[in-house]
Amino acid sequence: MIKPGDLFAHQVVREERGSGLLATLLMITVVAVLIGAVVTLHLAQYRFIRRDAHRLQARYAAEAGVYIAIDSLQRNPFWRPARAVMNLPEEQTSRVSVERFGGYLFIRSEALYRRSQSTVRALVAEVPPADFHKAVYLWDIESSMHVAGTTDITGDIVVGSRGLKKSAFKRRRFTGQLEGAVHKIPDLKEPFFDGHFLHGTLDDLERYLGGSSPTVPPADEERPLAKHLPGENRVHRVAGSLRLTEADSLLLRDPVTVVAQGNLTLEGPLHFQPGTVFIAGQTLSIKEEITGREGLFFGRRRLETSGRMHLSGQFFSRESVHVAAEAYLDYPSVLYVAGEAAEQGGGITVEDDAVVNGTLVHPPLGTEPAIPQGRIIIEPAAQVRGAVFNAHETEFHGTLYGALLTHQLYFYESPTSYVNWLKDAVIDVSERPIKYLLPVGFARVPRLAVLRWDAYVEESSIEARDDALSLP
Amino acid sequence: MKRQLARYRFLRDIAGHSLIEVVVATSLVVTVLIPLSGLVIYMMNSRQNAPHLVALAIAEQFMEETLHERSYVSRHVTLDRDRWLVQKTIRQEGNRVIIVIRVFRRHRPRPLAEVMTVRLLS
Repeated sequence: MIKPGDLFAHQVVREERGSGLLATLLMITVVAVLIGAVVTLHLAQYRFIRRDAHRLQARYAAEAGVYIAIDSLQRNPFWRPARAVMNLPEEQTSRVSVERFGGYLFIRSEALYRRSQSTVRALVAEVPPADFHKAVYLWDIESSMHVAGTTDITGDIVVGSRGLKKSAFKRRRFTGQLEGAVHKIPDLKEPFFDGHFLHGTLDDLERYLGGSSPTVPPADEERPLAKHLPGENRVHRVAGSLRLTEADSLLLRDPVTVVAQGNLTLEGPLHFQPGTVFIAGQTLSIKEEITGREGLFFGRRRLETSGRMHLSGQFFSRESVHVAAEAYLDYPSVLYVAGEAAEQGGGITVEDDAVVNGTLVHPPLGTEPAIPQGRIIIEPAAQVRGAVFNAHETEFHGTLYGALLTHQLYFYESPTSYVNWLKDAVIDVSERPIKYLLPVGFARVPRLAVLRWDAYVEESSIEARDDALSLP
Repeated sequence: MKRQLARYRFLRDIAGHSLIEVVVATSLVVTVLIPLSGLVIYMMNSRQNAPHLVALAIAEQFMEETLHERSYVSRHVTLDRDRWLVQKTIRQEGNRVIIVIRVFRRHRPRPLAEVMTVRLLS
């Protein structure tokens, strides 16, 4: 038996009343969802575009910070700000930090535009002054310069009033070539060199050995390279000697400072990060398959390489730097030796088959020893691309694509010592890359330039937590 | 028996007529609405987002060209590029060169993209 209620319901369904409402509700829901999706998509895309625009502006502002810092450093070479706020044009700002790194400077600039932040790190060096565009600059005016054997020089030569002579050597005639003018300058003075900057680097490195480091922050989380300055490296200190091998690769995953009071040996295969610093109180030995770029190495007594390696590094020592065969030092490498001990048989030696792209520096001492013995020695099959600056004696037999600035030339071939003779050498300043830059300290009025930019770090949606950087 | 028959009819009515009509109608509407919404997105983008994107690309291109050319003589020029106006301002303050690039859509007062940087004369 059918109940009256069931019959009513059945009739309602049969008549399809209410299906229109259902259909309308469904349509409205679908339309609302679609409109919502369209608007959300559109807004998301708009936000992405705005963020791209803000990132681009933040990047240009960070670069502007670097150039304004360079301008300030050209006026005041001792300026070392730490996150100093720089006012940029168009009411923008950036935070700038400057730190010495070997012979160069690191500048880090952070700029915030709206909610996008960009950080850049630049390695900055000095534009070579005019003297570094000569092939040879010999400022010993006591004797004339002699070229002998197959010596081949491309570029201008600057010598004292006694001039330059093409001389036979042990009855062998001069068969080389000289392409360039010879400038004879009476009372020729040594080229300008201000050693404060490079001596300051030695002092910084000594401070680590003395137990105190200039700035040692607490252990920090991993940070992108561009945000990191070498002074902020984590410091690993050992009282005695230390040997790092492949097993210690993890230690070098980030830029660090490794300090050993005794000897420090790096035995490859090992790879270090840019900005890594190795410091040894005695000898620093770099052996076999070491790779990396922009490392800073200090062996107080001696710094030596052995075996095959490919790296760019700045080698500092108070006594001697020895680059052995099969070492390939990439630009911008620096070999620097300075100190009383360097004059007692130390100096810089680049062996046969070694290649150095960068600058070799052996500066003048405050008080010259009576008999200077320390030298820069470039062996016959060695190659240097950049410049050699030596306030003492240079034994040059190899190939130099760049400038040789030295007080004296020297070599010994039994039974005679030859002073200011250049035999079987190749010097060609025109083959040096145009963008070659020097460590700081060689120009009376310094002109600085960016040697290398490090990767940009771009972050978005940063809370405007820093009032100095929050922009309208 | 009659109750069972009524239930059968109820289900047949819903499934056989009304619900199918609703589903078909909805599908038709969705089929029309999806391309329509695509068209709306395209039109909104072409009117609002795309110009910003193009202006940004133009600003970056002009800035990189200026930096590459290194022609840092002070000037204020407005370049006419199709529907775009590119305002390039270079001014010197001592050794510093300030470069500002603004990109406008024709007949619009506010720039759609603006970038600024600094370089040195020497």
